[in-house]
Amino acid sequence: MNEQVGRLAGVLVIEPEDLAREFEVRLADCSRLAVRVAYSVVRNQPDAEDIAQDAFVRAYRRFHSLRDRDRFRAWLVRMTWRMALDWKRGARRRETREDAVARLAPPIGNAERDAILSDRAMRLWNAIDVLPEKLRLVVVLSAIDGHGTRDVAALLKIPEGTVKSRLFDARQRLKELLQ
Amino acid sequence: MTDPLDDPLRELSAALDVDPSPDFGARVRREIRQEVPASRRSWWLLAATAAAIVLLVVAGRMQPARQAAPQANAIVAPAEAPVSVPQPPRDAPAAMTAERLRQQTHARAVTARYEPETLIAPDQAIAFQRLVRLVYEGRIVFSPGVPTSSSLGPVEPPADVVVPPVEVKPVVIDPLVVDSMSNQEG
Repeated sequence: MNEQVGRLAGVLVIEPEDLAREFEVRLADCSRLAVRVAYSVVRNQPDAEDIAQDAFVRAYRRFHSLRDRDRFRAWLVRMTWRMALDWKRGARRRETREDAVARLAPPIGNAERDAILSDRAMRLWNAIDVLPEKLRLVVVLSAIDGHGTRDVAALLKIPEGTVKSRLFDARQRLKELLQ
Repeated sequence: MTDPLDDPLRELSAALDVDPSPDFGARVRREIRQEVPASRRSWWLLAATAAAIVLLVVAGRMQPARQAAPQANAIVAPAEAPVSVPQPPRDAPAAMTAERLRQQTHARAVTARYEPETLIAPDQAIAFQRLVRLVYEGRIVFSPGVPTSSSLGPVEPPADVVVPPVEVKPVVIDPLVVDSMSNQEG
């Protein structure tokens, strides 16, 4: 009886040091995942890291409810994706303003940008951008870290069959778009 | 390099092959360390705000009780007197709408709830009390024409009261005249 009570108390009473240690494990485990998810949206490593960093800070705030590894990864992926989309919408607005100013000056940096993003990659990203958001997220997650359909289903909390059908649909559309 | 037409996923996987920079973890830790004191500060701010709100509510509740204290020198009745709803006068201006009447009724009801009904006006009560005090202190002397207990002198005992005997006469009832009545009926 005492042993059971002690075990229950161990579950309920969480030391801050334990939490910090667990968070360190999650940080090491999920950093690459978060950065890649953000990168798939913003296509810029510094911005992707900033977004992933903010997502980790938010995750830390509610780490009490996210201690489970799968739960943490799923929450982090969805949060990073959403934050990256918000960032991109803001970036588009900024670009619109900057473009209005740039029209008055000769274009600078286009050659550099073209060098970074090859024509092939540009075509691929353009095709990805055309996909509906549900298909896009499934495709991106399937392309990261060799995730299988079961992993993607766990991350998005949707049935595995749904992931399969969405992935099939996305592949077909991408092929059509890239032809 | 593979053609994206063959397998877009493989191409995408290669395009997403980015790793976080080596100082990424350190940046996240630094951000969290800065975050924790800020959250503690905000917790204290929240607690202080909540305490201030509680104080304001308590002070607000005590205010009507203070107002309800009876006015000094006023003679008052208990507040349980029923509140009558005022009827608008017949010659009330048309501008006095039902809404205004409702507001006035409410205001009077609230006033009656906290302030007992005044039977004597406060200024009159003060004047009466001052008069009593001045007479008691001898600072007010009534005019000589008014008899006082000292000016009347010793009081003599009253003489015996003589009550004359009471005569009681028997009551005489006159007989009724039946004939005339029967003639009228016939």
